[in-house]
Amino acid sequence: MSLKAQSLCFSYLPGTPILQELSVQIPKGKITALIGRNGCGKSTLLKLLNRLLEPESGSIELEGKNLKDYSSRELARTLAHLSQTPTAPEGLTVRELVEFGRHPYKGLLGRTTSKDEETVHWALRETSLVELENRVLSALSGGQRQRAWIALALAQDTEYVLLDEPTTYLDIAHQLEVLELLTRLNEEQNKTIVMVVHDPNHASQYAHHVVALAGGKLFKEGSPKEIFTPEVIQSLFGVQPLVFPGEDPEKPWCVPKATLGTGESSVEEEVP
Amino acid sequence: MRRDFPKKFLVLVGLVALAAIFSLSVGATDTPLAAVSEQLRERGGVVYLFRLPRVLSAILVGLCFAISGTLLQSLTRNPLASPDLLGVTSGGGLATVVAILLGGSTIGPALPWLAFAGASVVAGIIWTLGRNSTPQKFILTGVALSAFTQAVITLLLVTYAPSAAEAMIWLKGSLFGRGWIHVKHLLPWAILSLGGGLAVAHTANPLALGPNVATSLGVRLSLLRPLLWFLSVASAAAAVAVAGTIGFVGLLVPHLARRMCGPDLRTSVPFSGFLGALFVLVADTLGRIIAPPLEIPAGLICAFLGAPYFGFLLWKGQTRI
Repeated sequence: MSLKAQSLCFSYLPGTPILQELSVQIPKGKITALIGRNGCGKSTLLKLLNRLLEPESGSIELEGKNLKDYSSRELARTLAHLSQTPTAPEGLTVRELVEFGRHPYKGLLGRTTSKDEETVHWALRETSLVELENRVLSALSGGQRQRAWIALALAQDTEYVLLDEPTTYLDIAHQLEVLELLTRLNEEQNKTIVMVVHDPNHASQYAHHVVALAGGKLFKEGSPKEIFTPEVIQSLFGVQPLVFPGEDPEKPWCVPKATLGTGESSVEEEVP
Repeated sequence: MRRDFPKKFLVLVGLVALAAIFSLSVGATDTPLAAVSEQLRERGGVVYLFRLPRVLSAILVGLCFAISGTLLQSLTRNPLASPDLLGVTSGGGLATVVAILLGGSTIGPALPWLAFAGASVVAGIIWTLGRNSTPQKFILTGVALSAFTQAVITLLLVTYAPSAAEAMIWLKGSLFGRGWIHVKHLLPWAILSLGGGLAVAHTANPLALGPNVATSLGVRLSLLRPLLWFLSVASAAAAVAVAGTIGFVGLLVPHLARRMCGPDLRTSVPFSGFLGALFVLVADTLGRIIAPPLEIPAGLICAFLGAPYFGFLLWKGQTRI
């Protein structure tokens, strides 16, 4: 029982495949990091896993059931997805945004139950937003806003949480705060977390399992220790890395030192 | 839902009632309130036969236009979407002009249905052309079609200038001479508009966060989008059919309602509905009393009141557009 993708193929434009025969298995109850260069298909994979996109071929299985067979509400109660740059309408308050997370649990009239209230409050507390709950989103800092969106995903109270670059735009303290929050959710509530991250150390220090993609294919998957080796990082990102062991031998640190030069690391445009 | 909503809504409904009472008592000859209530009880006299249906028509027309705009703005996620901008209104206008020019006054009773058909045809074309594209493209499709329809209307008016006077007045959006038959035509659509709008309100709320987030929250866009389009087109078409092309209500009122009670459709649908009712009713009453015996069409008053206010909002740079 987990989240499993079986030989997924997908392209936005005919002839330029984004994902090719990609098979991955997301271990349940663990934190999985998706890494890879810009445009390698990380975000696309997350969208396919949340059925925002439909694969051309291949299948996805969630908890032993084909993703296609989920009703919209059932899926929204099982899996939450925070996309890269979500936008909220002007004038929306933090609390109003987070309350949207209860949408898949509400009836036609949207009546709020005490369970809804509790979950929203819990999501606000976990993201330290209780004091800001009545603020308008546009009046928040980038970090606070990002936390509000994470709170929305938390309020969905799902077994699975997918996050596309949850630490982007945050200062280093807030980055760690988000990652520690995800760790806590994983440890205390046994939630399965899948996150796209760019900082190699966010993957190596906080994830149990790392999936590295390159050119729409699986490059390598394994424990942080297996992925964060000079050889793998060098060929995956085209950089010369410094890899050294941390206090925990299972979680090496990784510092990109220099590019390999001559086009090797040329950055491709991210596909929307 | 914001806590102060019930209070605000009650005040609004009270204002509509006050405006209605005022409107019933003024006219070519002012009627004292005692006589107004007597005529209403006896179901006779100028108040019951002429003023009451006109007041009710104004209320229902305003309600339909405003709810149509609110639903369209939710559907397209764009605060500038409105039935006039998207060509639904002018579709009804074109059908009516053609009908009036061809049939003259014999066409009378069929007019609402023809206008309704015209609006629906244009709406169908917009939906077919634009439904699979981005909200921006969808709106631009409507704008283009609207401009085209307007051009055809103008061409017809210019070509048949002598006989086009009646069509002209209709196009300016007027409630002159609207009677019980029009109220009967409007009422079911207004109920559908308000009832349907309220029924989909909660489900449609996450659309404000964009299609991806809405889908992640369990909203079925493939069902919800056509439903919203149908409700907004049906309401606007019914209103156009009775009152002609009253502009600005569908654009301005939803926007104002959102500023006053927040983005939750469960509140902004009924609030915008009654605000639209108030707006058109006041416009029509003003049009009757400013320069009697001349009547200024409600559509013109709406534009006179609406355009500067809209400019004022944009100029002030209010964030809550």
